[in-house]
Amino acid sequence: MKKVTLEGYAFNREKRNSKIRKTGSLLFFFGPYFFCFCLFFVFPLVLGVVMSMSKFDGKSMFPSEFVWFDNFKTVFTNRVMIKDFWSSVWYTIRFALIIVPLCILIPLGLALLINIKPPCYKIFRACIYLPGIFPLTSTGLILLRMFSYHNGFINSFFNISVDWFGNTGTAWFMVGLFCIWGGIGGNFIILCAGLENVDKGLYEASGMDGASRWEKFRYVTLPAIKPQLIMCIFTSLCGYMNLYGQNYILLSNTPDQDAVMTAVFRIQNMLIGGSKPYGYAAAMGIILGAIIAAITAVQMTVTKERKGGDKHVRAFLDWKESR
Amino acid sequence: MKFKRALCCAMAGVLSAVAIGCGGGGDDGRRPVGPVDDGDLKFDPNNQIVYENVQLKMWSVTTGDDAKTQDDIIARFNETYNGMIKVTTEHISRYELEPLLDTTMQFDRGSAPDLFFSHGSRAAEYVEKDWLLPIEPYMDKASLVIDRTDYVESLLDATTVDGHIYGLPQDVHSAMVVYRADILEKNGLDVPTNYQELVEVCESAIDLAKAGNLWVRGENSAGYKATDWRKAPTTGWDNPFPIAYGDMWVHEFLGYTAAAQNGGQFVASDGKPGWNTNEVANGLQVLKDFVMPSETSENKYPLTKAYGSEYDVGNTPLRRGDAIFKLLGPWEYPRDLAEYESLMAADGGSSNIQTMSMSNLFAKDSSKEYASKVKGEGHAFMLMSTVTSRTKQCAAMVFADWMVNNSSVEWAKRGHLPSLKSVENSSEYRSDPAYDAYIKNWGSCDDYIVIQPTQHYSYVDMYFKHCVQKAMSTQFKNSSVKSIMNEEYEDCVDYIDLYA
Repeated sequence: MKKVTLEGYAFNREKRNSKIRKTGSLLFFFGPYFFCFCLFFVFPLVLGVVMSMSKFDGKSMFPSEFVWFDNFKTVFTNRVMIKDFWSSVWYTIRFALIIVPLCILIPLGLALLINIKPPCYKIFRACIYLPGIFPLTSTGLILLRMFSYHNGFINSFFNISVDWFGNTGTAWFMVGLFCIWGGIGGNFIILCAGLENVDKGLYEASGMDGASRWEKFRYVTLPAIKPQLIMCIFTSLCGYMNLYGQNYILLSNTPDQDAVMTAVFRIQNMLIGGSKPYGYAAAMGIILGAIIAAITAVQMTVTKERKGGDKHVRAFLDWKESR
Repeated sequence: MKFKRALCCAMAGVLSAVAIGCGGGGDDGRRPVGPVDDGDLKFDPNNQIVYENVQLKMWSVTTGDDAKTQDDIIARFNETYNGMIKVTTEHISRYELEPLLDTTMQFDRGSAPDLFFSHGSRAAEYVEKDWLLPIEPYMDKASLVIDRTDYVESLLDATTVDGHIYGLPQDVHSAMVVYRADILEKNGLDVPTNYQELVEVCESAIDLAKAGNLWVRGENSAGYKATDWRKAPTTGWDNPFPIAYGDMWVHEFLGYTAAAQNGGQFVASDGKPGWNTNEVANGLQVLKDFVMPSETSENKYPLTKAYGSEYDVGNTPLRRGDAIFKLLGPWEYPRDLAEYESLMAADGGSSNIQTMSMSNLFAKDSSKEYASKVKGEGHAFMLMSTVTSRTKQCAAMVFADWMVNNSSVEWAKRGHLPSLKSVENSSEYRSDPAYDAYIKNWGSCDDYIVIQPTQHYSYVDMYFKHCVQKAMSTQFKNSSVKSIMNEEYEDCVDYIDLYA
């Protein structure tokens, strides 16, 4: 029998207890998240990939045959798929390219104004955030009523006759308005928090160096809130590439449905009638996910902070020298 | 290499899970179409089936006032069959019912209902999914008879797939026309009975208004009371029959009706869309002319404003006296009657409005046999494939048969005309005051047609509705109805072929 010293015994016991404590803590804090992550992200993702490579018989929600990449091939080659899916992807991208800058610039402008801290600025801040807490459906119904063609407040007030939801152009304008109205609150709060944390000493220093207001904004404020801006751009872009609810609520009666369908709306629309389209819909979802990943990768690369981060210092010195 | 192996393992795991799930489908494909055995049935000495506390669960597509009425009728059944059969109903909106049933039938078949009360025209799609059992074997077993000659042909056809009946139709409903009888009478205008007369009445009213001679009444912002007669303004009274493509009455019923009244068919013999024809185009042209008259149209004035994607567009103009006709779901008519009864209590009350069916009103040639047709939608009782107990299957048939024969006038007051001609002609049905007051104006249920059965119903229906909406939209003013239909047809068929 191996002899164990008292110190050795105490050391081993403490080591074992420590390991149990650490494992317990890990399971306690990380376990619930890991479980949910697997259940609501990993499993659907893997299932989605499997579905995208499967065929469905229309009777069951489960695949009837494994077809590898046939569904993807169809999405790229079939006439109606090219016409419907790819046009809706293109509409979504174009819309995102317009709405994402607006959903950054408008909250940024408002956050800058609030950051001046005018009287009652807390009330203004709450008011700006308020539309964001209303359910999408409620805001949609309010807009439908306000912009109703014949009985709407807007047409009556301005004495105009515009079918806001009936024509493709105005219909997209309404979706944009809906997105801005309901969507800027989140970005606004993030940017407000970012502006709050900008070191006031930097403004004083730049002021002493003779920086104008614009130059202070360009060379002090923007670099300081860059992490918040990148996060806002990233989340807005992902969000608007997955646009669905706004179009569904506002534009379900627009006659030219092909021209107002976003990619997710198109995928959702394929799920009518039975399970036969599930494979194609899953393939579309995977393709859309890949497109969004590619766009965000480009965005992250463009906005990435390069190594050797003294470029702002050099830029500042160059600017100072030039004066 | 490790990554590849891990990926393969993950795929295998998910596929195994899927395969296990596939096995969970249970008894798919079990559809007896011939006589069935006695199973767990018990018989009394007279060889009658004994029903002892048989509990049936039904999911119903009805909601709101319809649901209340249906519950009352079912309560009567439960009372009649007290101790024998009891039916409990869960009402689920049409938007949630199918997805819920889809999920239940895949993952939780034990919780599926025994009976399903939904639109009969969807039966072919449900059969395709293996949700339903053919009802004839169980009707036979329960000693009940389906008299095909007594049913509205189109309704029973809609639930008949490959020669077998999968649903017992209870009713048929459509949109109908409400008109201001007081305005027509005061101006010496007749109630129209066909398309030409409808156009003539509407245009006469517009001409009278332009000449400053049209009498109207209804509450408006100028302070007039609902019963005060006044002359319509010489400009702006140009909306005698407001309709809009965003209106449910239009895209669910009027579009189809206009097509059917001009000889259109909707489903081809192979189940694909059969609506890409000149007859259907003629029907949709009538609707386009309503909004945007052309040189060749029957009407020289638009008969409605271009309301675009709005809905329920007729209510306000009709109440204000700015219109003479409107479309409405018949189940909402009792509410309208009550509203006008109170609004115009000082002079005639609810008698100032009347109702009629859409029969003949959109047919270019009213002499044709099909000119009287109205597109309807019918409810049917369907037996779920999850029901394995023979006693339950037979009890479900007893219940469905009782409902079809006994719902009668209470259900018709909600706008659901009976599917059985014998019920429609019964004295109980015809002697009810509501029958004389308005139900009879909705015409014979024989005039109603529903979409023929097709497993591609969702696509056939969705793309046809696109055609209706585009035909009536000012955005497509310069596109011919036929070109719109060709494009939609091509897309529809491409999708169906893709999934075939």
